[in-house]
Amino acid sequence: MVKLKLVNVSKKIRKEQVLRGITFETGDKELFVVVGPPGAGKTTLLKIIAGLVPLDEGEVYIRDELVNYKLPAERGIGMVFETPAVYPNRTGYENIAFPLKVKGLGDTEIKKQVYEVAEFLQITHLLDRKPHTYSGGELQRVALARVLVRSPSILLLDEPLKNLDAKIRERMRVELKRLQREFGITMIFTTHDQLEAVAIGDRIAVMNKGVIEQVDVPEKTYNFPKTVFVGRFIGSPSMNLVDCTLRETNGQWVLDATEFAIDVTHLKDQILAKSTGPELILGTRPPDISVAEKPLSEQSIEAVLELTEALGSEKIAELRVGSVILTALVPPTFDLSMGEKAYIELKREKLYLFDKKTENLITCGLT
Amino acid sequence: MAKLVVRNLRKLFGHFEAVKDVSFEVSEKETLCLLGPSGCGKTTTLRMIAGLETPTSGYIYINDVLVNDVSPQKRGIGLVFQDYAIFPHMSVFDNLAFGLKVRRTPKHELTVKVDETARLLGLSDVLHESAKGLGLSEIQRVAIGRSIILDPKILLLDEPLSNVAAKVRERMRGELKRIQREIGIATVFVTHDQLEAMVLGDRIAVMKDGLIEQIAEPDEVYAHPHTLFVADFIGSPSMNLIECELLEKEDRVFLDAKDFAIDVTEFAETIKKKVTGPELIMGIRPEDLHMSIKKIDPKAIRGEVQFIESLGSSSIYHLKVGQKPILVKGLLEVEAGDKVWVTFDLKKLHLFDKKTEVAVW
Repeated sequence: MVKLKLVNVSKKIRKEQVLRGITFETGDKELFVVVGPPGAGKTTLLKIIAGLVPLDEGEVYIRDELVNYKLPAERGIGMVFETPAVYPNRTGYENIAFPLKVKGLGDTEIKKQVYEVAEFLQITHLLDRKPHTYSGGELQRVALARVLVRSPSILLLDEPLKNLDAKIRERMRVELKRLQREFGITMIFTTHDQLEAVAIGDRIAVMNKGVIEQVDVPEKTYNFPKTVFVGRFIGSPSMNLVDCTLRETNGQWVLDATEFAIDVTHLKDQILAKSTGPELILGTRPPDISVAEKPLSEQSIEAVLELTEALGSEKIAELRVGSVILTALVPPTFDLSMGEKAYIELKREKLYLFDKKTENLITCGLT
Repeated sequence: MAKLVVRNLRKLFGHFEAVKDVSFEVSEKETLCLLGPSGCGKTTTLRMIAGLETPTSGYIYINDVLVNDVSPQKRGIGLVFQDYAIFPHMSVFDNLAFGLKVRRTPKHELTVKVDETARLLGLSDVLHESAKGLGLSEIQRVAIGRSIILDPKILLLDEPLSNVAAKVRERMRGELKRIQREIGIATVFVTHDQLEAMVLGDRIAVMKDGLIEQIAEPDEVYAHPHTLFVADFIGSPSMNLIECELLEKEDRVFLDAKDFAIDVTEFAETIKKKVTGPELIMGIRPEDLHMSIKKIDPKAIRGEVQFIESLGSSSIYHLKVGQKPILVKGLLEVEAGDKVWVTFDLKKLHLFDKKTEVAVW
C-alpha cells in the first residue's frame, strides 16, 4: 500500500526555486530518509507534506487521497522539528499527556498511554521533571513521545539527531529505527549525514539543490550512484573523482587521466553510446584502492603517501599521483610513513564512469 | 621541553565542580585533543588555559612560566572559536592583519607577515577578496591564520568543526590536520567527536565528569582502553560490553555471560590478581567479531540477526545472542531473522572490573 505519494512538487521561495519536480512514493511502514547537504530543500519538503507550507505545483497524496487543500491538522501526520517543541513550564508527563487531553480522553486512559510510550522510550524518570533539566537527547525523546501518543501512522522527523553529541547520535538512530518498527510507523526522516541515512533508511532519497537525484535502497546508492553528486555524497571517506578523456590510438581506446591511463577498448561501444562527449569523470571509492610498498602488477600506479588519518579500525591514506590526490582506506596495520613512495591499484570492477557534462553514470565496473 | 603544563587544575561554578583535578603536558609541535561528552569539563579546561576563566586551584605554565595571573592577551595564546568569528565585512588581508594593526606593527612588516601566513594557509589567491564570499574551508583557514600570525606559543581550538555539515566536516578535518603539520605549533583541541580526536590528536585525553580517564596516543586509547568509559566512548560503532561472572568449574575458569561462556583458563591467574570480585564486564569491538553462516569454529556462539545498518563498504549487524544485543561489523550476505555463528579472538577481548570500571586485562 502506498502511504504517501508526491507527484512533481515544486516550490519557489522569494526568487529561489527551492524544490523542483519532486516525485516519490513511500510504502507502508517504511523508514524513508531524505538526505542532502544544508540548503538542499529537505525541510521545505517536509513542511509541504505536513501542510505547513503551500506548494506551487504538484500533488501530495496521503493514503491515496489528494491533500493539497487539507489543513495540517486534517492530514493525520505527526511532525518533530529540529529543535524539539515542548512546553518549558510543564513537566514531562504534562507535555506528553497534552495531546491526549485535547482529544478528551479520561485520566486513567491518559496515564496508561503516557506510561506505555514513556517506558518504550525509556524516559519514565523524566516524567516528573521539567524540560530545562533534560539533556539534548532526553528532550528529543520527550518531544517524540508527545507525537507518538497520538499514534500517527505517518511521522515526519526533521533532522532529529542534529544537535546531539556524536556518541548519543549513534545510539539514538538505532533507537529510532527500533521504534519505527515496533510501532509500525511510516517515517520520513531528514538528515545531512549520509552515514545516518544509509544506516537506518529502508530507502533513501538523495537531494541536491531542490532535486531528488536518486531514490533507492542504501546499498544501491552506494554501489550504483546515478550521478556524480550521489557518488560523492554517499560513502565516507568520499569517492575519488578524477577528470579523464576518452582517446583512441591505433584502435586502442583508453581513459586518459593525465597521470595514468586505463584501457577500455572492449567497452568503447558502451561508453560511446552513453556519453555526450570524450570528457568523462572516473570515480573510485577509497576501500577499492589497494596500496602496497612494491608494485603488485603492471597496472600499479606510483604514488607518494601524503597523509594518514587513523580511525581506529582502519586508516585513511591520502596519496599523490602527480597532480591528483587519491584517498584510500587501508588496514590499521598499514605501516608506510608520510612522504614515502607507494604503489596503488584500482579495482577495475569497482570503477565508476560518469559523463562530465550531464554528470550521469555511464557504467559501473570497467571489466 | 613542555610548552604547556597544566597541574591539578580545578574549577568550581558555585557548588558544581566542572573540573575536578586535571593535569597534562603538551610538548612542542604536539596536538593534544581533549575529548568527552558535553558537560565533561573539556571546554572549561580550555577556557582556563586561555585565561577566560580563573581556576579555583591548580597551575598553568606556558614555556615554564606560571601564567595563572597573566591576562589572556599576554599569555601568547591563539584561540580559534567554534564559529570562527571572522569579520565578514573585511577582506581576507584585513582579517589576517587585524591583530598586527592593533599591535601597531610597522606597515612593511605587516605586509610581509600577512603574505607569509596567507601562503602557508593557501589563501594568497583570495587575499583581497571580501570575507563574506568565502567558503567554509577558507573561513577556517582565515580564522587559524588570524591566530597564528601573532606567533602564539600555543594554539587553542574549541570544537572548530562542530557547526559544519557532516560531509564538509570530513574534508575540513583532513585539511586541519595538514595545516597543523605545516605550522607545527603546540595545540590543544576540544571535541566531543571521537573520530575527530583520533584523526587530529597526537595524543588524546579522554575526559569524564571533570577528570581525565586516560591520556595516550590514539591507537593506544583504541587498542587498550584503561576504563569502561573510554572503551565505550572511543570507536564507532561502540564496543560490545557484556556483564559476566568469573566462574570456576572442574579446573577450568570461565567468563560466564549467562547466554554463553568463554574458557579463559590460560589467563585465569592474571585476571584473578587484578579483580576486586567475580563481577566483570567483557568488551569486544564489533570488528573483532566474525560471523559465518556455517559453524566453522567449535567454540562459535549462536546468534540471530535483528537488523542491519549499512555503512556502504561494510555493515553493522545487530545480533541477539540469547537475550543480549551484540554488534558485529563486517560483510556477510544475511537478512534480518537469519541465524549466524559468531566467533572471536581471545586476544582481542577486553575485561573490566564491574565495580571499579577499570581494565583488568
